[in-house]
Amino acid sequence: MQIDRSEVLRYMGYRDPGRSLNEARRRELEEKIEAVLPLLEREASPRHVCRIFPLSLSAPEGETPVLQIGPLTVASSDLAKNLRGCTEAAVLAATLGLGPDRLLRQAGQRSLFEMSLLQAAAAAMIEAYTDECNEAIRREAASRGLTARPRFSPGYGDLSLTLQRGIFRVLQLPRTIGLTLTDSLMMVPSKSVTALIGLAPKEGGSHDFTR
Amino acid sequence: MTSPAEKIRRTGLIFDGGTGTFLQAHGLRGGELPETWNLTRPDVIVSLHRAYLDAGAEVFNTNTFGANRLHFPEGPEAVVRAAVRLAKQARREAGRENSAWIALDIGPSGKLLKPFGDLAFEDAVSLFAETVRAGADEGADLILIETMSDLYEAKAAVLAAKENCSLPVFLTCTFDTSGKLLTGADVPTVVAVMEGLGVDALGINCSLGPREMLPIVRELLACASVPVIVVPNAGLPAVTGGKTVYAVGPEEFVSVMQDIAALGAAGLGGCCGTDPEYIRQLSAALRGGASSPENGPKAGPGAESAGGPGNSLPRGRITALLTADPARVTSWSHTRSIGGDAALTIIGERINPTGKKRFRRALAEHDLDYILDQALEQEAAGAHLLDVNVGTPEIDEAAMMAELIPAIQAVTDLPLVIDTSDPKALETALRAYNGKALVNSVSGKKESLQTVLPLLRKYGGAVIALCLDEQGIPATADGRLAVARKILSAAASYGIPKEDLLFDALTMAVSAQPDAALVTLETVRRLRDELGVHTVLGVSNVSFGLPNRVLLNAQFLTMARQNGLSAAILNPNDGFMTDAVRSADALLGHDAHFAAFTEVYKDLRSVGARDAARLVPAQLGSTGAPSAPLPEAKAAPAAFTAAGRFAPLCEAISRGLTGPAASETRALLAAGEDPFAVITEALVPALDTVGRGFEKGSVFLPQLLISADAAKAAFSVIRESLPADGQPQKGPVILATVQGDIHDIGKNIVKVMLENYGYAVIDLGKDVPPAQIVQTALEKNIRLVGLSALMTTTVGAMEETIRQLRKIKPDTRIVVGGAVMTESYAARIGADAYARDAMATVRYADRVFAEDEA
Repeated sequence: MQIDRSEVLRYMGYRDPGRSLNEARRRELEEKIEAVLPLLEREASPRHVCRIFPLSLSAPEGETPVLQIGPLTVASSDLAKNLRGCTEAAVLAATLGLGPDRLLRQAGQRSLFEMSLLQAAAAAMIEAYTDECNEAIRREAASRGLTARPRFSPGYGDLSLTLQRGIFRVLQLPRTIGLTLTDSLMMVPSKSVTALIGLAPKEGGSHDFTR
Repeated sequence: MTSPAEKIRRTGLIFDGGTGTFLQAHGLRGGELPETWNLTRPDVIVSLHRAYLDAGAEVFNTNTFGANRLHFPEGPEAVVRAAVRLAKQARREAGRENSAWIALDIGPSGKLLKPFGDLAFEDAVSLFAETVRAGADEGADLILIETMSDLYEAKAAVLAAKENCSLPVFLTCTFDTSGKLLTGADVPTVVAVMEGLGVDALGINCSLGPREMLPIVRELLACASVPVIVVPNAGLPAVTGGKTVYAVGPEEFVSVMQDIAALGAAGLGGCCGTDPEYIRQLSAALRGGASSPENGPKAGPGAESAGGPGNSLPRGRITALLTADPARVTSWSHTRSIGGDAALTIIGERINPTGKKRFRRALAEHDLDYILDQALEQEAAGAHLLDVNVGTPEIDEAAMMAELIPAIQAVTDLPLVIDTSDPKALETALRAYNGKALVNSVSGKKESLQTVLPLLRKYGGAVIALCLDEQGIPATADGRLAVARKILSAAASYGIPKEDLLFDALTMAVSAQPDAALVTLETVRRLRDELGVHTVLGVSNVSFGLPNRVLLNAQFLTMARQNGLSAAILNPNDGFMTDAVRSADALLGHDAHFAAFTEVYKDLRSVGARDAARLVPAQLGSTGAPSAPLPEAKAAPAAFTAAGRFAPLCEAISRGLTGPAASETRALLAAGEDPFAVITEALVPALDTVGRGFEKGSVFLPQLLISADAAKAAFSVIRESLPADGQPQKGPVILATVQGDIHDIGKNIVKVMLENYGYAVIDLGKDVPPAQIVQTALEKNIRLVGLSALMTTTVGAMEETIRQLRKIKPDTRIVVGGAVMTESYAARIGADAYARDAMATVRYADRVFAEDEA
């Protein structure tokens, strides 16, 4: 898993690490990051699960479009836009397990700085891991002549967080990867991602000018 | 009919196979609750059971995997009762009433337990208890708890079963290929904890195919003394074209299962992807054809294999006098072996208020952070177990145990020692503990035996047994051994094996009685040689009344180790003691290849380096996380330029040097500096310089945090030096993450910043109900409450908290923050202020309290 170091710096609050940090300080901070990454890698147990479902869309005039993704029924304009032209959608969930959550608690006890460093590194790590899973989905789809859209998660745009309940049920996430949902729709372990990835037939070289 | 617990021990049992595929084939939709079919499609459920019974299953599961209140808000009773009735009907129709057992199937809740998730342990127990009561009452023959991937939840389910019925309890857990549960427990830990809780059989199901399970099955068989159950999937699932397909067909499945039976597994069945055909072939291979009332099983699976569960004598008991099995205590993840060939176990004694003013104050003020620091410090210094004692008259010991045990377990994976003389606190702690604990202690007194031993029998655990009784502490080794024998036989009468006992030979002061050390050493040796038991000592008593105590303590420890001591209760932060432990183990052959010794002392090659040696263990961070100063701070733009005596401290804080900040503070106080002056003239101005840089954007969050860490270190030095009532603090301020919200990183940053600016903070934690916040605000007459919410879904709880506060305590100011908060959002839900970060909260608090003074 390739973790982007400057992504870690951004998660730590350096919005533009190239400009806000001089070379020497950046290098020193990066050394700190290199020191926590092996720790995170030791404690994390990345797991993911993914299912691909047929997709259909109904968009009654003047109403929010409704998508049917296998057994999931989802009303969302933004997701409909993202999935336009898709015939299938992958439902993906990925988690780093409880290890990073435990490390964060420990670090919080010792030092706020260490905690923020770990927090940022773990956030970058779950992104990197989700990218990897996403890439596998893209390749599998490409082998079937499909292209993958950028992933879209509950909470983005008008896509309701309550969709999490459906995703958790359909993928049986507690059983398959140990990912659970609280009553208030938070994911535990916290370093976790759920996402939908639309898969569309390749359009022999033509461009979609409507986008 | 024979009890299934008896049956599985004698001839093994064939379990049934998967249900999902069968129900889907009959039209169950993805996401539909299968248990509803007990009421709506009873015919399908009966035919499912029939198919497995006819295939030869001897234990078959009710369709109740998810039948709990989380999935059935009206309560699960109706679906559970219907499920058992359908199972009975199927068994009757199959003519198997004397040869098939109905297992009340209980799957995981789908929730993670607190402190990481939002389901409280006791709520989990109640959840499973409902299902158990209905199923047992309706006539199930056993409870099968399955697919558990979390040790703590499995414990809740087993307790619920044990407390609500008298049926046998079988448990199977889901391990991954690394041989661990999803939340981290390894095989020996699962076995130690669950056997301690009294399960009748245990094993593995789901997630893996039979071949992938083999190494885990071997480990289970090596550890377990109860029968082992193996219920694999039909191989690993592969998704092709949107469909889940299992790769292993019935022939291959059965061929590996025969190997597994030959290894000694006693319960065999199938999980996801298996169907009645798998079970038919499994039964044919193991029993020689489907069993029926007439032709009973020819031979149980694995019944004839040596070392299998047919041989139900736990390994090692017979030769215990010579080679006692080690005592096993566990955390939520791993097992610590004590005694036998294991290295000496260091039990850290620092979590204990006896004679410690600062610790008592922490308990009285509910300052859990201080106690957690003690835990982490001892872990870093090399402790293997942590003793937890919170007995002071001022607090409710049981309530504190219930809160502290999970909090400690959230930051360390060391096993804990529950140290209390209050039976209620002991039971509360044993329930709340995630693992198999060591209990401190039982004695030969009748009352002690009758209180402690039943709790150990119920919850499992090892125990420190004091060699004293109503007559006091025997003066001779003979006398102490006599008490030990009495305790041993009392424990045996409760079914507690002798390897779960650690006998405390009792250390007395040599200054009072010259042969005290000799008697103790003789007792340790004879406990090992004559009784074959493990031993423990608290060593420091030996030197009472003499100078250079640490020297005597360390020497005494080495002598005791040579006489067979298994564990010592000591202060691991004391380098002399840990040096003595490591040296003794290296010299006495308990440290193979000197691995532990060289790991700690590898940088010390010369004999003269002994002073440095004691620094080394303290630096062995348990996680290896960096604790050196933040590099960027060296060139901090906000470098503080105070002159005079406070300059070094100010610089340490602005540069974020935690160690120097603490030592400078110590030096200032030692020189007679007023603690209040140190705070107002050094700590706050230095931190404020960095804080202003942060507000301007010239300093970034990490640097503010590292300075806050340094200020916090300085503060805790000052706090140690102050009397309990001399707190130089403003406030107090309440901080809480609102109900339903379980993330608290931001809130914790705010807390440290407020404290560093001299505020007393009452931290109510996370997921805090509105009523608790209001009540605390009323009781303590709170001027300012800070609330945090991370998700849109929990802003409702924040709004409700504000509404209740306004109604009941209108003069309290409310500041809110968190990822989803904005200025306008805050105004809309009625907060007084929005704080975008920790510094903004500090500024707002300053304004509120300045108004008050004005």
